[in-house]
Amino acid sequence: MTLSPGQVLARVEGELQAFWSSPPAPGETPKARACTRNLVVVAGTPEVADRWLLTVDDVLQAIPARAIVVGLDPDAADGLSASATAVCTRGESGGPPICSERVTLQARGAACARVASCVETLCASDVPTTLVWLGRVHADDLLFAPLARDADRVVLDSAQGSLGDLAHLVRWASKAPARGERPGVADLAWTRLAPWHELCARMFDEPRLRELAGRITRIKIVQASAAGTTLGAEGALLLGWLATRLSWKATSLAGKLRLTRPDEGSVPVQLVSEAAAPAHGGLFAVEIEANAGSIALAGQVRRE
Amino acid sequence: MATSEPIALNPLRRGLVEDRTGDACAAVIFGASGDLTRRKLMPALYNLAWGRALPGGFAVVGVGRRDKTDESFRAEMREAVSAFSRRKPIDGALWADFERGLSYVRGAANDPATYESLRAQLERVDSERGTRNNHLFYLAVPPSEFGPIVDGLRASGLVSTPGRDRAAGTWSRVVFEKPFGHDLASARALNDSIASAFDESQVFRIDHYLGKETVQNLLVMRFANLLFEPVWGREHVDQVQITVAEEIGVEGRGRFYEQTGVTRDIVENHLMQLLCLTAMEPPISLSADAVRDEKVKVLRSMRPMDRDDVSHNVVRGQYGRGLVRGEPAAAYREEPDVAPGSNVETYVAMRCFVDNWRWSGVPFYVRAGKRLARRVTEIAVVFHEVPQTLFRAARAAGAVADDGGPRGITPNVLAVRIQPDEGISLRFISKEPGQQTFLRDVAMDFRYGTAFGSNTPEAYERLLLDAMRGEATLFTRRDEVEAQWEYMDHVLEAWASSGPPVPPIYAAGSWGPSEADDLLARDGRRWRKP
Repeated sequence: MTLSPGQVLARVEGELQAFWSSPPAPGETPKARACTRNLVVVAGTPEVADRWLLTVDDVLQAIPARAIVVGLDPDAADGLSASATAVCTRGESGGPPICSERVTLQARGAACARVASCVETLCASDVPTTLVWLGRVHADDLLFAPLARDADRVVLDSAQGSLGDLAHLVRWASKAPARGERPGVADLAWTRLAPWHELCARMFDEPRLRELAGRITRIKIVQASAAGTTLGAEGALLLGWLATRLSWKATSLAGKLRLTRPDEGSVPVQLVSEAAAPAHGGLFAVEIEANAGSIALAGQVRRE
Repeated sequence: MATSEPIALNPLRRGLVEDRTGDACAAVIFGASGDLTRRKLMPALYNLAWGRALPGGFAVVGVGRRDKTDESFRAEMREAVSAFSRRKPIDGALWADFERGLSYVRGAANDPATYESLRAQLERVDSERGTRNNHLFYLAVPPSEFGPIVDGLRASGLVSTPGRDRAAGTWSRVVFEKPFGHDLASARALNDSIASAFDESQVFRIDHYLGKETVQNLLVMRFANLLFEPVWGREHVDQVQITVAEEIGVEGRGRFYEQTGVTRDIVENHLMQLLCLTAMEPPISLSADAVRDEKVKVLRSMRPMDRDDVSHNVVRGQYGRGLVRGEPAAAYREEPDVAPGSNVETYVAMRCFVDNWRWSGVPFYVRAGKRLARRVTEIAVVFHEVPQTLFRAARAAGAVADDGGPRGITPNVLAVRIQPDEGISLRFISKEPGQQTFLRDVAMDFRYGTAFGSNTPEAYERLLLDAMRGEATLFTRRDEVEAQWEYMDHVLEAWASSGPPVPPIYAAGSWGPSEADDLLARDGRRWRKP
């Protein structure tokens, strides 16, 4: 028997309520429920949603939340199915386990258009909502628009789509009506760059090396991709970060990117692909050379 | 005239989320064979390495009396980290990398040869490990060794002045463990001795309570929320109760405890710090001196006690036999290395006053003790009762006030739990569901574990990292330590002058002597049962 979306949601709500309303069985340790936010993850396919379950459970260990993981399959026959589970972590000091809730929703066919309404029903009230959108971003997408509008933070991964998606999302967020209601925007590709930023910055931390930051003479970006691939999101974001921090001017000549330092010196950029490297499509290494006459630097940051 | 150019900032640091990594340095631990190193310091350093908070250039040089090789020191530390780290099991690859930076120097604190060996080892470490001539000296040793070590470091030239340090882009700092003196005179003498070698900016006096998340959160709760500050004072607060209770006894530290007692072990430092953070005014910033200035003002506002005041406002106690968690516990005088007729106090309760505009007339009841009913550290702010009772209905059966207020509507209580189950709870009155108006105490609870997940960093992790970064906010300054002793000296002198005081005996597993209950009963109040 096929259940209607309303029946599916009622069953999930019942399951969630049953977790916490039924007393622990004899000998069973009582559990504490915790929820500090809603974490809504929307994947373009059921397979991607499944792959994300482990990541979501890891997040729930650190941030107690109600997670709703949605897998979309628009080409399949209509239908909606859902299940709920508790994700528990051992409490400190021998306290009771702390449990979050994870709901998985699979929407097929026309039911995909109803997902926003289902998610709204399932979200815990009075806590902020983070939407993780694992696909291309279109502001007029029937699902993206309502989900993003209700979120306090929208997260995407430009490495899985394109930097255009990120730009699209930022433009969309900036149009939100009231200043305080604009959702925050985060890019997982940018977040992954944090250690690269830190390690590149460390090259110039020593006082005697700081002036070299203004005398960079060469950048080499090694990307984990097949030969001939264009610069991916992570590499482009890192290069953009260096250019803005160091006040480089970006121009193009005959379609090739040219970066110019404030002292008019040019910074040649070399892009190298390494197909065998781990983290396919992502950054694999960055090499920076700088020369200030009396002192020079050649540094490399490389993924292990 | 030539002027020194300010060193330009690293432009790639602009806008970068601060990575709380320590400066490249070598940590020199005196007392490397000791319990503190095994249980706290090395696990904390390993956990920092796990969290990638240690700098690329980092090394540990252990200094101790016992004969060890680098290899045996590493093996011993691995065992300690396996046993005491909050991250288990130990990560083999991480440890392999971490232990390459561990080495050992054998020597006694008062032997000049120790410092020659140490200097040679540090030169080797600085060149091999990239620690950039930055040295953090950690004195995990008894206070009797503070002086000889400071003298040894100074005589061997291992300490440079801050001005020269800054010019060379290097630093040396020293971390001291408590107890910091045993009275005001000894604390001053110790401070003078340290000041002969180190500038105050290089000195980090640890009170590990300040490294606890909940203690740090006290400032955040007070000064990042508008809700609490307007009611934080005599207009709304009836009393403040601060409790530092332990279930354990002296745990083999009888000799140490015979010298210190709970007053010097807990009250003079941890408890006074908790009181300061509760009572202090908003600092102008979170800089080390701004925060510590405000704490010193609280200490200087504390009403001194003469001998009569001490007998009225301070209660001592010593644990006798009893049951703790259902298990029989020996009396203090039966503990190893404790004199059979010892009069050392294992419990102290005090009624203190902070004579300033905000707290005038509000009693601060503080207590600390060993072998009490429960292990708990908390600060409870008890508010005044409502000015008029509208609700005349009987209280619900079983709804019993535990704050000591008169019967009727119990006052609101904001309790900040430092350990265990770190969190904050606010107690207020609610109507029980039903046809009649029965009132009942209910609590809104915030628990760190439920809001932020588990695995909160240990206090020593935060404090070690701060010391590596030169951030002194969570360490006690010289004038702060001396002001703490100045206040406590009144109590200690009163006890000393009244002849050998015999503390009342309380049963292990109880909440202390009945005299402590009387202390509050005289004011028409009761201790909380946290």
